[in-house]
Amino acid sequence: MAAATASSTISQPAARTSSLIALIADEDTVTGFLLAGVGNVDLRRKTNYLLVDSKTPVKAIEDAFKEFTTRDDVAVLLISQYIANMVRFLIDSYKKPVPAILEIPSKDHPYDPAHDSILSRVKHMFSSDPSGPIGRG
Amino acid sequence: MPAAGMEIAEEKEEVKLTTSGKIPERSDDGDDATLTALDATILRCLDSVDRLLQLRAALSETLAQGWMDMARARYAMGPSRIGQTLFSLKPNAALISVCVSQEHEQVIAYEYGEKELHCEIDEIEKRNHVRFKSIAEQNRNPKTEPMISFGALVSPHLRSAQSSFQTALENLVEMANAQSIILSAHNQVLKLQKGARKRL
Repeated sequence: MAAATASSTISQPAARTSSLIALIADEDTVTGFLLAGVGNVDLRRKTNYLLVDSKTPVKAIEDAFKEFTTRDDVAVLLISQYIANMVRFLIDSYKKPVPAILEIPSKDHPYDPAHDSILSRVKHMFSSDPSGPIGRG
Repeated sequence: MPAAGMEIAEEKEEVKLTTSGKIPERSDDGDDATLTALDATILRCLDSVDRLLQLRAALSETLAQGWMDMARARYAMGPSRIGQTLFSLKPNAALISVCVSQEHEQVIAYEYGEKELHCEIDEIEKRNHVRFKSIAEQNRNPKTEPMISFGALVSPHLRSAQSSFQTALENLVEMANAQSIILSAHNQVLKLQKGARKRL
């Protein structure tokens, strides 16, 4: 019994999984990362990226965000910041550690730290305002 | 006259000392431990924020270089040779994967490596220890090279853009690690602050 408890207290090696990088971005950014080898197409022709242009509806972006954040085989989701601003409410309410959401700049829209969700949370941590960007507990 | 003024001042000073009250002593060692832990966590969070901002600056430069090279390649090869119409929709596995080390639903480290390499379960020496495996060019299978989608003869600018985006991917994995530390420190700070408020 003591041995069993001793073995249970020994920290188990952390589970490690090999996962994909998903992408929601404009054409040039998607092209670049596909060149780097990020692209994955499964047998059902489902891809791990969504190419967003001026005709892409916000609903499609929301659906892609929800799909990528619920897939087990996605570890990191890259999203252009200007696209993230369209679904900011979804990103602010996202709490899971995996996949990590990383906002990246795009060719036409440079990165703005004022809109980043992570930096906003840190800023709120040091502010005297009890309410945050969202209703947080 | 000056002597009387000095006496009045001394009396006032004595009154100040007796009525100012004592500095409240720490009621509990637990409060000290909580505040010390809070300080350490906030410092860790701020260090990670600093690291994240440095990585973001590097990422912006790398991506800008990649976009510039891609624009040059598009100019050299023609706009129809580089675009979404050339993306292959045949089933193919990603060449790049990310190994996630998770413990207690908290991400410890992201690793970046070749898809063919299996993530071995081994002991992690420190929490949040970041390890990266760079891509070995000789392991890349020419048949699965993404550049093939854009033709056999491509502009050197396109290869340069590929290299920039590969560098950007390494940056992004480091950013994911830094962000993971920030989020866990943020959650810890909120818990410690709640605990400190309850004690008060």
